[in-house]
Amino acid sequence: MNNVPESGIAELEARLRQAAAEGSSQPLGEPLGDWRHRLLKHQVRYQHAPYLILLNPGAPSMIELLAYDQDDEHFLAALYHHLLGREADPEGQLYYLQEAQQFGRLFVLLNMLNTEPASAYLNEQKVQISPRLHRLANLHKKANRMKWCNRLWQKLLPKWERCWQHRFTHHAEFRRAIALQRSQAMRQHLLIDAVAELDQRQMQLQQCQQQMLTRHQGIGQQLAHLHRQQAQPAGAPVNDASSLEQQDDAPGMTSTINGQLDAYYLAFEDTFRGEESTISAHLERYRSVWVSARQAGDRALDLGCGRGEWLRMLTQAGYQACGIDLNSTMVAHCQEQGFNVTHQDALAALRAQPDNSHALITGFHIAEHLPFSVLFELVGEAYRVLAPGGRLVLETPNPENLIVASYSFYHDLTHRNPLTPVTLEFLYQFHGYAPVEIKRFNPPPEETRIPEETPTAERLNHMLCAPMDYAVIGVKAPMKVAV
Amino acid sequence: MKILLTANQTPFIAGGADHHVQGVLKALCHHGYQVELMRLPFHYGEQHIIHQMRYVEQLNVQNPNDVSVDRVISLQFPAYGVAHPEHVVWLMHQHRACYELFDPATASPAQAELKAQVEAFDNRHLRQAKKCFANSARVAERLKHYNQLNAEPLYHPPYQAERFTCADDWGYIFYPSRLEPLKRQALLIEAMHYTRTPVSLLLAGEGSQYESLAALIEQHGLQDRVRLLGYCNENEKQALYAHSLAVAFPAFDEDYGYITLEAMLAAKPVITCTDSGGPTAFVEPGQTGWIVPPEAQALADAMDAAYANRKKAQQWGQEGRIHYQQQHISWNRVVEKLMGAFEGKMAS
Repeated sequence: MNNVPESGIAELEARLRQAAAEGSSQPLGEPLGDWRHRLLKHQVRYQHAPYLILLNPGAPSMIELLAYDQDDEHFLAALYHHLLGREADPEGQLYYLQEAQQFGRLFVLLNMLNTEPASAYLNEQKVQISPRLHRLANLHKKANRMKWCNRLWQKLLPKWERCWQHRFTHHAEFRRAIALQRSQAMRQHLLIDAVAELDQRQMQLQQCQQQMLTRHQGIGQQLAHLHRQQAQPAGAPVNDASSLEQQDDAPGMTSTINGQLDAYYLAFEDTFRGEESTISAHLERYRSVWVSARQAGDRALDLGCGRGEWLRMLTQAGYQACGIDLNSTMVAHCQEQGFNVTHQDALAALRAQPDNSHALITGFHIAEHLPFSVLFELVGEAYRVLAPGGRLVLETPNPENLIVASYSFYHDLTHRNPLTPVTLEFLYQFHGYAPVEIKRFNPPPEETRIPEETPTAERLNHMLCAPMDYAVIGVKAPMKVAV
Repeated sequence: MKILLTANQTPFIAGGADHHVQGVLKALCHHGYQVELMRLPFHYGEQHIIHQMRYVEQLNVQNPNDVSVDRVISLQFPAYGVAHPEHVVWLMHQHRACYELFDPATASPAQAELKAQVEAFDNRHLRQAKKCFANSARVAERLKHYNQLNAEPLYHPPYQAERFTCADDWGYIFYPSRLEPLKRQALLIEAMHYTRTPVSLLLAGEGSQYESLAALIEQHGLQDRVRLLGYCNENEKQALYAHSLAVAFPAFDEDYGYITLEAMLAAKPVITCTDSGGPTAFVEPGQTGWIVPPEAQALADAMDAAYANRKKAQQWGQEGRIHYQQQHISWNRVVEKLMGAFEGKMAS
């Protein structure tokens, strides 16, 4: 407490400012609620030392002080506490314990009561000692003065005490029981106060929470409104309801749009790739391929089968032809014609096939739609799936024709990059196809040629009038027959 | 329920009044009432005050802009002059220049005229209110003395009451207040001259008396034991309370005096004077502090007593904290009392 030397007021001020800056002192707690202080005091006082409890803390009775319901140590500890307001020092404890054993507890009580510090403490604390005990203490004092009298007193007093000891014990137990019961009742009372106050605080906190929540919701609404405003193009009227509906219907919208896109692609194919019959005429040029592949088996798979022209030709050629396409309209169109077509992704379809199971795998105008990693894997997977002697055919626009490379390739907005014949050929070879053959088809009409025989014209014609499509045909090497 | 809370506004002069007004507002809001604070500009000067009294009396607070107001609570002069059938006043203080601070010997004719008008204004409006509470026992006492009006004292907690703490005492007396004549720091410095123990004194705060107090300290050669700290922030104030031996509050005729309550919250005994007003309602002499005559020697004795028996000072401080707690001073109780007053005219 007073362990701080006062070394100048300037230093004191500096230390206080420091203490304030550190904020080291903890608040004593909420000033509300008297119960808190009393409950803690109560707990500290009686929880650890139930032998200290008194029926009336301001007026301990002789029976309570003699404490015959407790052993000598506790009797002495309580006596120190009630009469001197402190704990026993080892020396004093030893002295009084011996005295108690020799002359009885009453003797010790009267001795201590007659000491200077005890009367000072009792006076200061305004503790009342019963008149009977006072008289006894005075008698004790007088007896001490005369030697012969003292001897007699020292004999009589313990005897008298022993006579009553039984009764003292009962009374002490009784009083302590009542005191404990009262203390419990008091504690219960304090606890009820505490619970009531905590309940009230809980309610206040709930209110605070409610207010915060309301605020929070308000901010959320405001934020959503701002987002909506931002999403609207400048100048367009903000219509909360409609934009919300749009958001809600987003999945439905996507499916509708997908359906429309499929229909668009079907129409696009009709317009730009020609009628089904024209295509059939084109596919006729692969006759040599399907005829030679037929030796490796009768199963064929067409990736991106479209309207099914190729499937028809293969079926007529005796193949068990299957097709896959990602366009549901195309798939439905093929299924209507009785072809075995599923709505599937090309790579997934290949992965699902067993090794060495197909004689012919084809992909007309799909390679230019695929990212390179997918194309790479597709060519590899096809090799696995093909039976030895089987063939992979991939047809794609030919960028050797400048018009195709710079213009018509981009009619189809789902095309990625033009693929050069050399690249594709290398890709086949890399995966083990041999031999690999390139077929070029569909040169532009003759009249588009520059009708001159000069080297310049020839060069230009070479670039502008090259065939517009090409195909790479790779053969999976037939198994070598051991000789 | 719509409650209109009326108070004054004095731009850029913050003080205890502001804490009080905001505290009521917050507490009423917390209890779920719809409250609006109506602050009316206040300006010193006889002519201004007469004008402000008239203005307030003409205000429509029952139905402003066709919005019906259910109840009105007024805190300050002259805002309590508004007319409403459901009106409760919680008087911070009256216009003190016309009451306990009025001196007929030095008053100008204008001041005398104002005094008559203010008295009539107070008698008229405070009587019309459904119930009148006073900020403190002292304010209630003055109301009874000057206007023969009964008011019930209603206390509220000081600012950030929960932050006050008690720590080791570092042997000094603390007095935080504005350095103004009514706060009587000079008396305390003079008292330091008479002390026999090495107790020291720390005075926090700014004010018009800074120079003269500094001179007084020098004159008595007390530079080593008395210090003017100037402005202290809230943290510093808390630390200064926490480490003090005792808190001095010898001001003249305070209305309420947060310092007493703050000292009690920090578990420190309070030294105050018999004529200090508000503080004397809280300090129990010989239990939680000292109430001494406003004389240097008496104050010196009290400070010496605190220093000489520091254990006792600590005990008294703890008693003070318990005493504070027993008063049940809280904003919840304030709301309970104020709103309860509307329920019926209670005997006071």
